[in-house]
Amino acid sequence: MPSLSSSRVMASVVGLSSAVTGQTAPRKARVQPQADPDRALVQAASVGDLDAFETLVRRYQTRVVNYVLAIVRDTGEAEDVAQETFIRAHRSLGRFRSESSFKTWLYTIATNTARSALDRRARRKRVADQSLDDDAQAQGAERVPSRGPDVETALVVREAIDSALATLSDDLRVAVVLRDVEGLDYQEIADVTDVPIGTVESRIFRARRQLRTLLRPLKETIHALR
Amino acid sequence: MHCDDAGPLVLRRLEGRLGAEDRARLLQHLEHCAGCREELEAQEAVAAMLAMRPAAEVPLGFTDRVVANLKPAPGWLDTVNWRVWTYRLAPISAMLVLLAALGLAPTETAAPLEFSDLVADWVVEEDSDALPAISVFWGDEVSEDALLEAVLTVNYREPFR
Repeated sequence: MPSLSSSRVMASVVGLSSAVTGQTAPRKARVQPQADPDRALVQAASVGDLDAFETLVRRYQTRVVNYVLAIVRDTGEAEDVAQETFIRAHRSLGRFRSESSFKTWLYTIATNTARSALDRRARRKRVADQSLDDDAQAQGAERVPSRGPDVETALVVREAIDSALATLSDDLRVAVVLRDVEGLDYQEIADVTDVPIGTVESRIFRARRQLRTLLRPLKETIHALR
Repeated sequence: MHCDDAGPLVLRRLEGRLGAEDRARLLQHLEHCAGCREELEAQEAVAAMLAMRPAAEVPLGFTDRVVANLKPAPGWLDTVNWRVWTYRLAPISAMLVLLAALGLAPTETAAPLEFSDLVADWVVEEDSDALPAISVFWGDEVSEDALLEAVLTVNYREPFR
């Protein structure tokens, strides 16, 4: 990764970063409960309207599947966890009190379900072929072919990113995925993980620091996917 | 500013949540701290790469499988799950049974029956001809002849009134 010049970093600090680098992740305003766009559907689903819930599933299935895939790193298991997430959400609709947005609530369920899946996996001792050390991750990332933005390349890039994420502890991985992959803001992540916002900041900072070396070989390939 | 203090400011800078005062402090620190400049750059680069993680496709039929596994949403009656409540009340019930068995439960002691209570309902009005002889049994001054006549003539099959 080529170093940015000092003046460029200074420009970033004084607010020109996005214009210069185009890299700053978009900041999302927190969804206030009263402004929850899913509120009507949630209310309808909570009184038995299956069509309303199906609409919610279609609205969030891509995000949930991608999120849990980044956490559990197994396509089949990710689908199971995603399904379980929606089923648990439906079962618990009566307890949803709109204190947070439906999206945040759904991510909370997905996080807990994914963590349960990871715990089960650990208990079954089936992690031997999926536990990767840092060196292996870096080597895997370096094997990424620098081809055009086709499906295969996208798959390889996602695998490499997920492999790098797998080297993090669960807490760091959940925090950084929710922020940088899913685009939740810090307050939403604090709600999902039930920790203070300062802890969220610390986790994300440390996670990015750990990922820095592992993702460096991917930089050119990722930008080719744009 | 120490580098440890610059970390959170770097994060907030990337989020666009840095106030003017903190931004000035961070800028001043970065002017002479290459490590933190590199940290800012790295944090931004990692965030950008993760944001470009290619999304996986949702498996075909995913929604249908989810909906097929759904049970009807619980109604308000289900919030009063009697099985749960009976389960939760079981220890209390067991305790009450135990108290009753030990004789500690609050019970009312029945008063001993008095003869007057038994015959209270038998009182016959003076002008009643249904049981003309019954009143002699508890009369204060009853002659032996009258008592004998009453015993001989009382009809036990007639219900007392």
